Amino acid sequence: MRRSVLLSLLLPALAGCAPDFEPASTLNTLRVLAVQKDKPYAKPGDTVTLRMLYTDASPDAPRPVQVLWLGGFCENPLGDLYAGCFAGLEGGSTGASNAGALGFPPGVVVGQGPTFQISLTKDIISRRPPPPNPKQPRYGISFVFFAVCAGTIEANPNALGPNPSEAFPLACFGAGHERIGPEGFVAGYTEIFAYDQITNENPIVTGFQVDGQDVKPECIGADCIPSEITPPSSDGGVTPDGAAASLDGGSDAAPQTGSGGAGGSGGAPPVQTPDPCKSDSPACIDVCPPGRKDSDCEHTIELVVDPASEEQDGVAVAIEGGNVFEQQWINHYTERGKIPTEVKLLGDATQGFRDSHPTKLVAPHTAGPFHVWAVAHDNRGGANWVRVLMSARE
Amino acid sequence: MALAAPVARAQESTEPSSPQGAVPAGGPNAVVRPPPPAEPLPEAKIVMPVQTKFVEAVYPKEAEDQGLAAVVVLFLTIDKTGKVTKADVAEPAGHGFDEAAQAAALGFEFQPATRDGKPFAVRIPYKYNFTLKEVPKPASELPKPTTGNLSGIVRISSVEQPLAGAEIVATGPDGAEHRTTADETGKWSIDGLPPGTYKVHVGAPGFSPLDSSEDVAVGESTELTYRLGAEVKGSVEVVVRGERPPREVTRRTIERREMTRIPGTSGDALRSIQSLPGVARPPGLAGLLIVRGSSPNDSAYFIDGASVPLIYHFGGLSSAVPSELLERIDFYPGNFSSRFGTVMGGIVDVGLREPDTHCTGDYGKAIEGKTGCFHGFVDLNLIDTRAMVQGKVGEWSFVVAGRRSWFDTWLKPALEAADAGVTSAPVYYDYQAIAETHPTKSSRLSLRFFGSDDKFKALISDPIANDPGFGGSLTFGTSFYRGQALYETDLSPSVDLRSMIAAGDNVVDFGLGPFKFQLDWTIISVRNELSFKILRGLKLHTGMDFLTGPYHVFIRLPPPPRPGEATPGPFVTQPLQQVDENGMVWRPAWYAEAEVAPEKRLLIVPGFRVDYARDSGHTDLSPRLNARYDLIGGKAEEDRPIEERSLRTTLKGGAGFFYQPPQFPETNAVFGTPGLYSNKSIHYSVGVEQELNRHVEVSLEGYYKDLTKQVSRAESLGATFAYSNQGTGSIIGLETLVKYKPDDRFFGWLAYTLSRSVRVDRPGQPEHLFQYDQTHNLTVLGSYRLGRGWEFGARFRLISGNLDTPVARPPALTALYAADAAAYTPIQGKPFSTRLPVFHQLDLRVDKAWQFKSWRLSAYLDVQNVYDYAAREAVAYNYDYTKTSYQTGLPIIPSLGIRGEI
Repeated sequence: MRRSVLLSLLLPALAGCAPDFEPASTLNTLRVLAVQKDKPYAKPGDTVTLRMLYTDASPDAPRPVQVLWLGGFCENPLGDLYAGCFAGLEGGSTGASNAGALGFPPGVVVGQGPTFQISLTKDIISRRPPPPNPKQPRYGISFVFFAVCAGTIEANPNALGPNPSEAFPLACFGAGHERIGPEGFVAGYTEIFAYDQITNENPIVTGFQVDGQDVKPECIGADCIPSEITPPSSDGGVTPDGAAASLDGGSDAAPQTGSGGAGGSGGAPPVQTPDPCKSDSPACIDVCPPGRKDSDCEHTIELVVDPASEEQDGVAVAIEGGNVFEQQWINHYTERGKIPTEVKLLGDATQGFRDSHPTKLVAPHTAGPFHVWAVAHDNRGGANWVRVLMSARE
Repeated sequence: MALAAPVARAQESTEPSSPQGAVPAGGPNAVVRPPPPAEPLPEAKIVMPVQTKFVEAVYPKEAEDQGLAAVVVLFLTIDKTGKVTKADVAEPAGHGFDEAAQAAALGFEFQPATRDGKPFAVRIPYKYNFTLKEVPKPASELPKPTTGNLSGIVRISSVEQPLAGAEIVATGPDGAEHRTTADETGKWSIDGLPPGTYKVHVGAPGFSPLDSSEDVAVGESTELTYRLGAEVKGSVEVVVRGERPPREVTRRTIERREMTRIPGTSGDALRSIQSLPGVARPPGLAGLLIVRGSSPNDSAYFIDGASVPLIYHFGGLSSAVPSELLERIDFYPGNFSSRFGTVMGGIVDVGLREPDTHCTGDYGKAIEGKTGCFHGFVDLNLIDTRAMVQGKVGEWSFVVAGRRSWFDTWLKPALEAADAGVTSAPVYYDYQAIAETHPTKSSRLSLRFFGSDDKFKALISDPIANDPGFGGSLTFGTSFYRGQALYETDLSPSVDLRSMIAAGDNVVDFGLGPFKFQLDWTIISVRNELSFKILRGLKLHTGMDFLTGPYHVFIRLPPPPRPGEATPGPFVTQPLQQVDENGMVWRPAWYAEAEVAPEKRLLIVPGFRVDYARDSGHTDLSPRLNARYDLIGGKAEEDRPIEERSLRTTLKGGAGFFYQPPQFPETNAVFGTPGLYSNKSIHYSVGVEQELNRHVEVSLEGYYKDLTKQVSRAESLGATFAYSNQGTGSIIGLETLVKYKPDDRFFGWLAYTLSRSVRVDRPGQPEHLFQYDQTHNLTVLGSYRLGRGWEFGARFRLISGNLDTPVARPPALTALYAADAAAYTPIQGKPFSTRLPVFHQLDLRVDKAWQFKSWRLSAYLDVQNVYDYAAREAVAYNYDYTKTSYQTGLPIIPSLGIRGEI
C-alpha cells in the first residue's frame, strides 16, 4: 500500500484544530437515518426487502415527503463503486422532467415509499471474474439508489452532463419548480452483497436505557416502518404516466406528519406513547436552563444490543482463519437537546463485542417531548434501530 | 668541502693593530670563532673587517683520494681597501692543504677594519677547514626518496582569507606527530614524512578544528587547502549539501552551524532540509519530503548508502537519527548521480560521523592534537530525552547514542482523562552504535547498528462520524534496524574502493478496526564502488547497488480512491481485499559514471545505470549527463589569492533518465496488476551561480521533468486494484537561492521556488494539478550571534496554500447518503482544482550557552508560529457537506530544550 494512503488516514490526527460543526446527531432537516435489509448478505436470486428509516425534523414539517427507489440496474459496477452505476441510466432521463417521466431504460426497478423489494440475478456472482486471491470468497454486489424529497422528485436535467457534481439522476423540486437543496432532499444508496455461503444478520436490538434505567422504546426495527410494500415495476420503470402520477405524490405513504408532535419517521404510524413525564419514566428529564453548562445537563443513554449480534466476519475468517469480528457501531439522533458524540463503537473487529457503549444526551433548553433514535450498524450492511420518546420538563 | 673562518684574534702586523671584536661569518664554509680580547685602544672605536667574498680552496687531489681532511690556520693581512695582501700559514696541515688554503685566501675580500670610522690595515688569524666533499653519484645510483611532503594553506571558511598561526599536526601511521604552524600568509609545509595515511588535525584559537585523512606518497608533495570555520560551542557540525555534490555537478554547501540554528526546527538537522529551495511544505505535521513537485513516494532516504524507510518519527515529529551523529546530509533534488536509482524524485543520503575523541581542557578549550578522550551529553526537551557517549578504546573509536520520547508520560493521562481510549500512548525511540578503526594506513572500517521504533495503540470508542470504519482498535507501528559495515580503502594510488553492506528489518504494523497492513521485510543491501583515476582530469566510478530480502505482507484494505473519479464513499462500506503472502525482493543494479574535466573550468559527468526489478520483471536503462562550466572565476582562479579572484559565474545543467519501479502492492496479483513497467521521468535542469561579493551568492536553477509511464489506477471489473502505465505529467520550476555565507556573526538565506506540477491520470482524462503542487514557496531565515553566548534567529515562510478538491454546493446535491455507513459521500468537482489560502508563519529561536570549567550548559527556546496564525491546512465539512470551514494548523508552539555536555 502506498505510504501516502496510510498517511492520509492519519492526517486528521496530524493536523491542528478542526472546526466545531453541529453534530450529525442533531435533526433539523429531512434526514434518512438508516436503511435495513432483511438479508444484509443475500444469495444469488434472493429477493431482498429494504426498509428506510427517515424523519423530517425541518421547521417546515409536516410537509409531503416522497421516497423513490431505483434498483436492479446496477450489479457489479466498475470498481464496485456507486459512481459506476450511473452509466446504466444513460439515455433515459434527459429532458424528461416536465412530463414527470423518468424515462429510465428497461431493467431499472422503481419503487416508492419507505419499503422496497429487489431481486438479485442468479448469476450475480458467477458472472464476475474470480478474485485473484483464491481464498477470497466470491461475491456479487447490487446497488440500490433512493431519493427522499420534501417536494417533487424528477429526473435531474443536468445528469450525465460534464459536471460530475450533477451525476445523480434525480433532483427535488418545490411547488414553484425551484430546486430544493439538501435541507429537503436526501439522495443516497445502499449495497446488497451476495455470497453463496456466507450470511449476515442485522444487529439484535432489544431496548434502550436512560441513566442506566430501561426505557420502553416506541418501536424497534421494522415496527417503525409500515409493512406495506409498494409493488415494484420491473418493465423499465414507472411508465411516464404512472411515474407522473406517483411522483406527484399520489401513491406515497401518508405525508410524514410527525409523531408525538415532534417530527415523524419513515412511514411510522402516529405515536401512541404517553408523554414520559406523565408517568414516572426515566425518559423524562429536566430541561437544561439557558446559561447552564452542557456538562451539567448530561444524561447517559445507551442502546441495548444482544451480544449475539457480534458475528464473525465470514470473509476474513475464510481467508485468515481465527477470530475476526465484524465492526459494529451505533449512530444516535435527536430532534432536541444534543448528542455531542453521535457515534459509539459497539463491536471491534479485533476485540469483539463491547458490553458498554453509552453516550451522552444534553437535555433540551425547553420543555416538551422529543425523539431519540439509536441505530446499530455493522460493516457488512446490517442495521437495526429503536425510536424512543423522551420528554423534558421544567 | 672546505670550511673556513677567520680566527678572531687580531695579530700584530705591519699595519696598525687590529681592533677588538668578532669577525662576522666568513662565508658559507667559514667557521666563526669569537675573537680574544683585543688590546685596549682608549677612546678609539674599532670595527673588525667583515668578509664579503669567499673563495673556495681547491681540495688537494692526493689528500682527497686518500680521504684526508685538515684544518689550516692562516694569518691574513688585509689592507685598507679590504683586500688580502698576504696569507701566512700559522698552523700547517701538509698534504697540499697549506698551499691550497693560502691560494684561496688571497682571493678573499673584506669590508676593511675601521677605527673611528676610518679604514686601516689589520692582520687577523683565519682558520680554513678542509672536509671531504661527497662525490655526486650518477642519478641511477641515487637512493630513491623515502619520504613525501604535505603542504598547503589554511584559510578562513566563507571569507577565504589566510589564517595565520593555525597549527597543523600530522599523525602518521606509527603514531608519530609532525607539527608546524601556518605563516602569515596561511601557508605551511611538513617535509620528510614517511609514506602512509596521516590524520591531519588543523586548529586555531577561535575556530572549529578540522580533521582529515591525507595520503603521503613517496617523493610527492601533497598540496592541501584547509578552511576553518568560526568556532561554535555546543552546536552540531553538519554539512548539508543542497543540490548536488561534484558528481551531480552543482553543490550548495550550507555551513555546519546553520543546521541546528534554523528557527522552527527545534535544532533538528534533518528538518532543516525543508527550508531548502525545491522542497515543498508538507501538509500539517506530516514529515513528507516533497521535492520538485514529486510525490513523497518518489524520494528515498539513505544512511551512508543503506536505504531506510523513514527518517522522521511519527511522520515529522523529530528525526530518527539525532543531529549530533550526522557528518553530512547530501540532498539531491534532481539530476542526481548514477549511483542512485529506483526513484524519480529526490534523494537524502545521510552520513554518520566518525566518533569524536578530541580532548578539551578547562572551559572547553580544545587541546590541539590530543585525542582519545570521552565525550557525552544529555539533552532534555518537552518531547524526548537523548544521550550520547563517545570515546576510544584501543584502536577503536566508538559512539553510543539513544533517544526516547517521554511525552507519553504526560499525554496518556491527558488522553485517558478525555476518554480517548488510549491503550498505549505514542512513544518512539531510536538508537545508534558506531565503532570505527583504521585497519591499515589507508583504510577505514566502520561498524554500525542503528534503528528506530514508533508505537501507538488505542481503542477508538468514538468512531469518526464521516466514516465509522475509522474506529475500534488502532495500532500504528513503524520500526527498522540495520547492522551496517562500511569499508573504504585505497587499493592503489589510483584506485579506491568503497564498500557497504547492510542487513536489517523494516516493520510496518497498521491496524484500524477491520483494516490492516502489516509488513515485515528482512532487507539486505550492498553497495560497492570502485573509483579509477585514469588520467589527469578523468576519473571513472563504477559500482553495484543491490537490494534483496524476504518479506511477509498481510493486507486487509478496501481499494483506495482512483484519481479523477468520484469518491468511492466511506471505506467501511467497501468490500475488503486481502492478501497474506511471503515473497522475495530482488533488485540488482550496476552503474558507471565518469568525471571528465578537459580543463579546469569544465566538468562533464556522463553516467549510465542498469536496474532490474524481479517483482516487476523489467530492466531499466538510465543514461544521465551533468555538466558545469565556470564562465568567470571559479576553479580556474583557485590558486590566486582570494582578493585577486573574480566573482565566480558558473553555468550548469543536466539531463537524464530516472526510473522508479512500481510500489510493491501495485504489481501484486491481489492488490495490483502484475507486469507493470517502471514509472519514467526525464529530468532537465539548467542554472547559473553568481557570486555578488565574498559573502553573498545567488543561484538560479530551472528544471523540467517529463513524466511518462506513470503507474495509475485503471478501470476494472469488481473491486480489484487494477493499474496501468498510462499516467503522464510534467513538472516545471525555478529555484532561487540568495545566500549569505556564514561568518562569525551571521548566516542566512532567501529561498524561492516557483513550480507547477500536473498529471493526466489516463489518456482522455483532463490534466489536473498534482496533489502536492505549490506554486510559490518563499523562505527567509537568518541567525545572528549577539555575544556572551546568545544567538537569535528567525525564519519566515510565505507559501501557496495546499490544493483541495471542491465539493458541490447547494442547491445541487452536496453528498449522497451511504446508508450502510450512515455517512455521506461527497460529490466532488475537478480534483485539486482549488487552492487554500496562502500559508505564512514566523518562527523565532534564541540560544544561550554557559561554559563552565569542566562542562557546558546550553538552552534554547524555539517558538513556532509566533503570531499564532491559523494556517488553513484543509477544508472541513459538516456531516452532509453542506457547511464548510477550515481545518487549521498548529497554534503557537514554544519548544524549550536544555543540554549538558562534558
